Amino acid sequence: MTHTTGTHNPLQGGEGAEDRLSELLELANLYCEEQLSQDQAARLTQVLQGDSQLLAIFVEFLQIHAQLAWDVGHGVTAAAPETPAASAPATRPAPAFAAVTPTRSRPLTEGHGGRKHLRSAARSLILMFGLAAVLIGGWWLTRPDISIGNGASVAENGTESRPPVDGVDLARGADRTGAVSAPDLLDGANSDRAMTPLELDALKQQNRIASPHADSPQTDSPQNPDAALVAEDTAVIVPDDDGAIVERINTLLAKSWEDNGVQPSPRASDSEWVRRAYLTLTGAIPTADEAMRFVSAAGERNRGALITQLLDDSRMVDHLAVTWVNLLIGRSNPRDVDEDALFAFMRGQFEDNKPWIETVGELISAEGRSDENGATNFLLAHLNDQATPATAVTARLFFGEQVQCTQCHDHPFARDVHQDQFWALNAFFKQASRKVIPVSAPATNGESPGRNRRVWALEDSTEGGMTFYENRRGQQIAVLPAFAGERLSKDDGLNRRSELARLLMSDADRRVARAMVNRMWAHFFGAGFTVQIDDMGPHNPPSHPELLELLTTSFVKSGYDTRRLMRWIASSDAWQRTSARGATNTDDAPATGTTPLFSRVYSRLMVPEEVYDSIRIAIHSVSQQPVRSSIGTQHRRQWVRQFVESYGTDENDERLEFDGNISQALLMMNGVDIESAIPLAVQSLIAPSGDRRPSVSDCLKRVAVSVLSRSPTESEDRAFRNRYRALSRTVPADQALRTSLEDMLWAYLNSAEFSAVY
Amino acid sequence: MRLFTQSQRALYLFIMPMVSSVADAEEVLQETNVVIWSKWSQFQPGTNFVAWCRAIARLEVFRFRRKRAHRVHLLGDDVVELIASHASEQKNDFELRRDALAECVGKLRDKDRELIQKRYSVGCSGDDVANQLGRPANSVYQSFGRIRRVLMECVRRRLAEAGAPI
Repeated sequence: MTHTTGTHNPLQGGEGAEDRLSELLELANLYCEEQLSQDQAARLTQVLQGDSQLLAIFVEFLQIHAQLAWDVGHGVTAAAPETPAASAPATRPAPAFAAVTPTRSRPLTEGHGGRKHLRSAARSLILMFGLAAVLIGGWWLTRPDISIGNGASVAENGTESRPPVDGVDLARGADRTGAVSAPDLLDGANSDRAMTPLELDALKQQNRIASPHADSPQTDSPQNPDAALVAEDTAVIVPDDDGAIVERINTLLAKSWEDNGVQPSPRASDSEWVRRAYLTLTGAIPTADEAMRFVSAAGERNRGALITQLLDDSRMVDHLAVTWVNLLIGRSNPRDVDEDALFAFMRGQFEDNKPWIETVGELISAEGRSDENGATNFLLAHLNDQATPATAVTARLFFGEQVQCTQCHDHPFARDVHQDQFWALNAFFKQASRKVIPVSAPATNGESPGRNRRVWALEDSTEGGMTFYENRRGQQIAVLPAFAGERLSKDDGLNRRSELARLLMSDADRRVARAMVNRMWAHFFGAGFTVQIDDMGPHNPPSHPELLELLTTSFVKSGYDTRRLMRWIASSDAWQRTSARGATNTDDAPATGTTPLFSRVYSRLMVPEEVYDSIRIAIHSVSQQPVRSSIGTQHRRQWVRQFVESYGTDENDERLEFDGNISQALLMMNGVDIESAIPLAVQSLIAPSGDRRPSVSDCLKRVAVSVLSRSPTESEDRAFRNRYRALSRTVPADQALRTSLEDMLWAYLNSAEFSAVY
Repeated sequence: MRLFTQSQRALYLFIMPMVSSVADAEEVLQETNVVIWSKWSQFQPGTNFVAWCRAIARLEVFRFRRKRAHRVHLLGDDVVELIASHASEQKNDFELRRDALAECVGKLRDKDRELIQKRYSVGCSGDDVANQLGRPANSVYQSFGRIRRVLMECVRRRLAEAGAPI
């Protein structure tokens, strides 16, 4: 073997190495199957050049492939089990094959280089808070390993023996094959930040918000590996029609897990789940009271009931509307269109649960003033330059197809996507134009346009005629509007955008449905069925075609009912599971490039709006004040904007520059005076007016539940008490308590756990 | 003559990582054989035959890549160089590896072993197997990835147990 290289980032330590190894093996496998794309080949080249250890492994892997090809292909077959006795299933899971060690606890020193480094801040107590954060992180290192599914795969059920997939552990030797996989709190996020591990299942087991009807840990570890696939305890009660669909989803996923030899991660604890549910559905964490109420309520119907409740909540409507406004026109609004009007329009659509296809139709065909018809703002934001950006955005958002390249040439990979299709779609937008309305002209409903914002009008001419574009050979090609196989004739005097909307409504090839399904699935699971959710096509096959098909058909049949679609996904067995990785599904990490199996929910970073709202909720929860909605407030918008970098391209591309580092973000939060809000909140916590004072541990618990929706861990508790005691020697007890609680609050808000959605 | 046949497999293993496809590897092997035969007289008996053949094979790999320059080559030239250097340094423990692999394949569960048999029967690709089984291609690729990984790990362990340096 050749020497090891120094390309490992010391900060990343163990986790980085495993991810790189997984990536390499994935690429090597595709190489063997001759399925490597250009980009992947480039990546593989890069990886091999950079690390001679990985190169060695690559060669070994390929040689296995070669040996198999030679031996099997040339008739030198492997020793098939001629004697059933010798190779009976009972003897097969021999530990010699793969050292599975279910109860090995993770040594403290192992591979956690990726500790988050706290940026310095103005706070004078940053040291203490830093210490607290380190301690919190330290606890996560020492907690016992979870042998999710390990016991199952080795110990029992002789007929279902399987060579554990733990074999990836090559770079680090065999000693960790039994352990739960390395932490990856933020799938795909900046791994420098990945201090906090995500095997939070055990964490939550211990730290469930204490309730009379605590989750029984037994339900989480399946006794029978097959039972895990369709365990009763993960069932969510759903209304009948939806029930059948959810069952189908569960069956299809279970089958894919079996085919791939993985066991899904176990059921998430209630506190993990309630936080995820609120974040996914309402765009912010639950208040402390909401979280506690959920966890203390008992019964199977609990989750289903919460899903129903949240789907009807106005916060859900707001969240969907904001999400779509951001998709439709971005966060920086360089064209200064009326984002409030667009928000109001989208909100109205979602509140009335209008069929999605109709909303799309409206957005495409809207006419009139930007302040009167909110839907016009979508195209107003993009109409430019022969309407090519509008075409591209429309295709990407509503059809899930990235066609901008086909403006100039046929799609390089998808055989059937041609240049003229782009222009045929574009031709629909050719009649549209926008113009500014002088501000003094009053709106027809009597109100004057407010806030110095420009008012636009989106209008269509009635001209028909051909559109011309230049192909690669420099020829001018004429094209008529065509979509989904239907072509308009030359001069029929029609309003083309209305025609497009009409054609869309029939959605014969169900592109619109499919795109929405993919997007919605990704919203819940953290990954869609295709590598990029808005680049569907033959060049990007879905990971679960049958499932995608099922959901698409059901969505269409339901009349494009967005809420029902959300219900199906939220009620699926897979979405009840934790995001922590188990022993067999360590490679299920789409962020590293593998095909998703959805054997767990993938974590992601919060987006700025979620951060903003969650911080507010957390602080208000501490003091038990009610929170008013911040939707549409100028302050939130401005706060969010600081993370947006606009590219100023034709297509109004922008990029979100948010790596989840909250201390930086909090400091930028001028106006909502965080510096004073925290002490005030803590003050109300420890000395509530009227009521008797809560105990010290109750205070800490309230803080933890407010921010992280869970009880404090033992080490957090210890760190807190040490701090409290230390301070009490020099300052009055009250002040000591206040300061230590404030520190904990800061530490929690700054943790990677807070800014993650898992 | 015996030297020659014994070395075929070793050469094939040497070539494969650099070209990825079974068909290409076989072609390069054939080309290599032609050169070996023609240069037979240049070989010094008693020296390392396999190493000598490898050197020839290495040149053939690069010649093959140049010949097919119009096709997109998956790995860059530098990487192929690196692979060639690395592979040249490998020990000649082919027999051991082959036996180890055979045992490991025997230890696979039936389903997996069948998959392997299917996949590596002549002319069969991953896609073919997927079609045969009616499974999506991606899922089949994943299965193969898993099986190969498991086999690789198993072979390593076997060799370690047998005391051979990896």
